[in-house]
Amino acid sequence: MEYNIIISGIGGQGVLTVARILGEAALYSGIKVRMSEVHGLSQRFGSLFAHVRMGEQVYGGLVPMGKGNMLLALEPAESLRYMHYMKKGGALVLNKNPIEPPQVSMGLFNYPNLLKIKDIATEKFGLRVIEVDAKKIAAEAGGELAQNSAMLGAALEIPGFPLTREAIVYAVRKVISSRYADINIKAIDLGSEETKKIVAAIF
Amino acid sequence: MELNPLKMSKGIRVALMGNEAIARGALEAGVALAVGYPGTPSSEVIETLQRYGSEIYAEWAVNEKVALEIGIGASIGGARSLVTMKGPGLNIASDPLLSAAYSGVDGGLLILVADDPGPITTQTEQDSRWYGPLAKLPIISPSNSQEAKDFTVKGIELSERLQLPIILRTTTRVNHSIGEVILGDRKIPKRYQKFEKNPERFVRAGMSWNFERHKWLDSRLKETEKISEDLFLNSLEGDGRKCIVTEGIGYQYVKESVSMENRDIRIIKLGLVFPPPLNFLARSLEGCNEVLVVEELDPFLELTIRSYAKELNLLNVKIKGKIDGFLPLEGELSPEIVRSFIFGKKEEDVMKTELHVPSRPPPLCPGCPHRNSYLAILTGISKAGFKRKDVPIFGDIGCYALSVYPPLSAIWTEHSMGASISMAIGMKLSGFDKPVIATIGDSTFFHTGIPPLIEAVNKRVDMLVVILDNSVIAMTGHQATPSWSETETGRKTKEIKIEDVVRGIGVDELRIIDPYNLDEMASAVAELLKKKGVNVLIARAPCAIYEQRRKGRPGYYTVKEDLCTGCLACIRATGCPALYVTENGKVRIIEDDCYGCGLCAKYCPTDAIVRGD
Repeated sequence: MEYNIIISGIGGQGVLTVARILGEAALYSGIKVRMSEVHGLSQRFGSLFAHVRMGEQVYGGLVPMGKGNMLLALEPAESLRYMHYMKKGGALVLNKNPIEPPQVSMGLFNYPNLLKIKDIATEKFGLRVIEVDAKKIAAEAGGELAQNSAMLGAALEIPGFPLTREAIVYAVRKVISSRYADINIKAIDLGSEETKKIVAAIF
Repeated sequence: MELNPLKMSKGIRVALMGNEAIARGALEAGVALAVGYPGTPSSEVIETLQRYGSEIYAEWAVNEKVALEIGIGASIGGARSLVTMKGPGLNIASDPLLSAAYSGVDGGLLILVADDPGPITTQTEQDSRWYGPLAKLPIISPSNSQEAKDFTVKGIELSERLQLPIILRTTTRVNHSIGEVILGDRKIPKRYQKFEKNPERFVRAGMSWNFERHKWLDSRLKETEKISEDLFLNSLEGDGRKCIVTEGIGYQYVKESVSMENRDIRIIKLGLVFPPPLNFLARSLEGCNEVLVVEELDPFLELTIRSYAKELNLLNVKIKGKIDGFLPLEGELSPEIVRSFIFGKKEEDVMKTELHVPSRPPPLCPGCPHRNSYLAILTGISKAGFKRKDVPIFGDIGCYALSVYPPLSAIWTEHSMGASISMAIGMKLSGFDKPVIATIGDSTFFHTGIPPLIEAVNKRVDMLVVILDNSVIAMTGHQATPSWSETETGRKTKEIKIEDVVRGIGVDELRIIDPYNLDEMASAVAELLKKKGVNVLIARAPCAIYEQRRKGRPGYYTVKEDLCTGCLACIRATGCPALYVTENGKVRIIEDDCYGCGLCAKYCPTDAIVRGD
């Protein structure tokens, strides 16, 4: 078994927290794991990614291009940077809520629209797109900061994903402070619930 | 239920980041003193050790030179110590590094230097392995988290055996990758033992005995391979005739590629990268008909192997790496680059998305006081009757360097720690006749900003120095500065006030101002800019993110949609990432991210931005 995940988003969305949760969950499940993160430049809003690799034959923390199984995009446009790391048929779990960089607002860039992003993912890269309204789900769970957990819930529903709900919940309790753990677990479950139907239709 | 990996017992398997593993290694090595200066990707080592408790000394020093000298002082008294820094930090600490090689150590001294190919968060793609031959000190290089821990233990051991400081050199993907680590036993920290007067060893004042110490150093260095043999720093796998010599993260990419292709290839992995383990290399390379060298940054190992081709029986063997252009000299390696190098394959049909993805350089955070400071500086320049393009703003290293991006587009230079003031001096002394402004953060000022301020005052150079004082080392994750009265570990410290230092140097005028009072600060900038002498403005307000984490935010702002005309004046002036434009062209505020500084409201011509609480 080898399963490669890339999490992309922007600083402040909990990219590194998701990576940590996946890592702890893998370890709990007895799966060898390697991860690589980028951090250390300013606190918020910059592009950010983390690679999580599971399986006996993984060495470095970086997913080789074309070997990714899942791209977990906490911000839609950020998915475009990593689609070429995915295998054909891989899953793009896409938070549909954009966060536009100030450069876009200043008119220096155009922000790609959601339809176009999905189109590129399916037509050009052959990915299966699972769109998630993580913002809505997180709000329902009790806090918009739990969007990353809503995305994790969606990931749980993707066929082939090697971790169980039990392992993820264990990891959430280990990684996230107890004050917020319940909200995040609720977001995971709501995320799974919302995603079930979509997954059944496209896989 | 967060479990502290530093406190777990032997035999447990945990997932650790390379830097956390080094911290654990320090405890297993019996390190008593760990000191460094924050710098990505090295900072988490000290941070992790600070969560261990008071059994060992783990604190930040004012800069890397001081940190290394503290480590040397501890080591010549027999204590074991670890000193951490990023690549450019070792440049600053290179002076004590070279002298320490002559003096030698008694307690183990391990110097972590973390390089940053890419570069992801560093000014250059420096390859610090060159400090091996330059300082004549051994360098060891781990390739994953397990080795990061083990090599820390072995490094201290080797340091005591050789009586030399050892450099533990890493690159980003080792520091910031997470992998499993099997823990070993912790040792009782080895603290001060004894220090006997021995000028021939410890006095480097140009004395004739330095020549003898140099000979001593060379003889120790020569012994490195033999003395380190039972530490098993190097390894050999496979027995094919195609051979790969590699080290660090390069080894992981090689393993990945070879296991994917399932071919018989000999992998020679060096943990000791300087001095080259020639006996091991000669043994391992026997019968090779091709040698590929896989390493990040400079062709350091490749040059070594080429220069010893005769001794290694490689005179008729093709040696491939970076010198002939097979691997890139710049940037990080990646699994696919290494794979196509080894197997001569082109990158698989990788389709890049043609759609232009908006670049997302890290902006100043919502509510960041530096945004206000730079706006005040820019406004002040105009107020003083100058054009912005005529008054250079010299920048320095820290979050505030992000002011280079639009809409502020403020700083003109950013080079090395403390350089804002010194480069401004050079500009003035060489005949530049308009005013100059140097902007420098509080921690950078303590680090290396004080000597250039002395220089400016002493040489009577007219300039405005703005010290952006957010009272924390923000960019690397909020570490303590000398202005704190208590460190992360709870250690009580004597706080050093920047204004006392500045006054002590004798600047012509000093003002302390709150940058959230934008107009007041802009007026101060305008006045001081027109005055002769060295004038210092301390713009003092805490880092918004740090303050928010400790005390909660002061409030937030919201947009009255009916009043917003969509002129975007707020966004164009501030570039605050909490502002965005909705589909109907009006501005909205991400209220969760807003800090409540109110800067955007100031620029709204229709008073559409109001307090939300």
